Amino acid sequence: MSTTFWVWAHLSFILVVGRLLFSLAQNWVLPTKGYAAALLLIGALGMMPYQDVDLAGWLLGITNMLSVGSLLVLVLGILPRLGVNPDIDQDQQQGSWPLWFILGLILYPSALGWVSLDTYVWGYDPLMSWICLGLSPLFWLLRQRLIGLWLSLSVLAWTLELGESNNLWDYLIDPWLVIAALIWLLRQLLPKRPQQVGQEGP
Amino acid sequence: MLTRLNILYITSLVCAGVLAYFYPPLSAPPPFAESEYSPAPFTQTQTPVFEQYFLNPIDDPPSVHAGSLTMLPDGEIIAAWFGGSREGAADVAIYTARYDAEQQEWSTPVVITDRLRTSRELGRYIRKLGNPVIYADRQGRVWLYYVTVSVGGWAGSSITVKVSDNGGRRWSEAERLITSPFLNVSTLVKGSPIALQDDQLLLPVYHEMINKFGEVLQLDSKNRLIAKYRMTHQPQAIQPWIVPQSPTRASAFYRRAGDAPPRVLVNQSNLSSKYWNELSPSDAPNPGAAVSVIRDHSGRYLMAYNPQESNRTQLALARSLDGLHWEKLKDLELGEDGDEFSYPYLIRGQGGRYHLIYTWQRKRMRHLIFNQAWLEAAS
Repeated sequence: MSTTFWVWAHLSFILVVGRLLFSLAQNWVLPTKGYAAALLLIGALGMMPYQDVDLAGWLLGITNMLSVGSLLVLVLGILPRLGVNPDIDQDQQQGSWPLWFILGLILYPSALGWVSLDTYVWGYDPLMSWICLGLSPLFWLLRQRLIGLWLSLSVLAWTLELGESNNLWDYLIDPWLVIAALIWLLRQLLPKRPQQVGQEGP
Repeated sequence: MLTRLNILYITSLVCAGVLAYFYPPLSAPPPFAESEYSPAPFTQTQTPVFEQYFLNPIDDPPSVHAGSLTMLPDGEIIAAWFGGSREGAADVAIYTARYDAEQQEWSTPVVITDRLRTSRELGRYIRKLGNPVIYADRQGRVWLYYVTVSVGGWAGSSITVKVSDNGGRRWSEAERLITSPFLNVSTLVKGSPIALQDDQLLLPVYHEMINKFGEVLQLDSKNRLIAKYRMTHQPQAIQPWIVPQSPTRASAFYRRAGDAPPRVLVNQSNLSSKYWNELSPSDAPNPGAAVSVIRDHSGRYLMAYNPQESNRTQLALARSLDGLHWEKLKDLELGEDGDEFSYPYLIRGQGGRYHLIYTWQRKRMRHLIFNQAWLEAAS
């Protein structure tokens, strides 16, 4: 395992476990330093040996390499706890979920052989990176800042070969991100529960 | 206004653009190396040669399978296979041994790697190991591609690689090939790699999850996966074995899977494996078992296979001019119900000799050496 990918794997572990923990314990309010200390502790936990590897490596065996998209979503969820305003509000994130789901539909059925066209192959072609870099400023200007940043950071990570893969798709999305996008879409489609209103007096 | 986010975005966009500009362009696979489609002519002798060996003692380990062979530039033969208490067990390791042609004997098998060592080197949990393919390139480097599984059965496989710069005596740390966007699962290896010009390599692999099909990976001289191509569009053929016929033309032979007829399946490529045509069933039976094919001195195909529509109780050699019509030359094993002789791996050695390794009753790896005169006498 290369040093850069070791960092990638351990960062993924910290972000995944940290995000889950902070979501589960959202009623416990800690000072900013408390959240930072918790992340450091999780980082140390990731280096604990488990089943012949460290915990981060064990999780990596199940999740595989997380994409830049997943890492960005996790970072955006954690930054406010650290007192950092990410400058990307909810409106600037909304467009990303349908896009990730559509990309998942383009990629995964093909990769599993349901269609004979192999769309994964496109990710080896630098042409795809140029398309991403061309679209990125457009999304940025359209105030879909998460998509703009995600596209540029994904191409940057791919060109630097920070992960295990030489394929740009692996830096853009992963199955967990597409599953999260599907859940987001289903929540949008399901009828919203009406908000409870107080009993009106006579 | 230049917020932190704007600065981060502009920096990442500019850096990505500059680096993408220098990223190597995607290139089609170069032609096959000449040694692949035009093997050096060898001196034919009239004296039939037939030798047979076992590579491992019986029950040590209790179960072995999936042998492969390669020849170093100096003519030495190396074999690799997996063995353990049973296929898929946690104690399965990858073994290797070397054939001494002068002494006419195999060295004592040694373990190259096992599950724990691979886990440590990859920095991730590995549950089991599977099919190894050993291959010596033209520079004398020896590559070992083998199957690793972290979660699930064989459909959860990915390919791991080690390399040796000293003829297979000392090996690098393991690295993974990322071949699928879906958690990098369901790519397995069985067939022999093919050398391309520019020191690139084609590695035939296959996919098993949900649908079963063959693929070929294009690897550069540093073993970076730079492209891959699908070899079959019908989900019914696995374990491709590629046989080049010219700089750009090749045939591939497959183990049948799914609803495919019980025949060895064949298709062709005219562009160094980039595009493959539809599968055709040959007249050679196939019980859903691996085949191995090379070209003999006259350019005809020579195949080691199980000549049955079910079971792996027999193993034979057959010859063909077109890859579709086969003439059985020689029965190598004629077993009874419950026997298994399978997973042949055939290469050309020095002095006009062929080397064949296969699984013998799941207990031992068997190695046969024979020459053209023995084949002709047999037929």
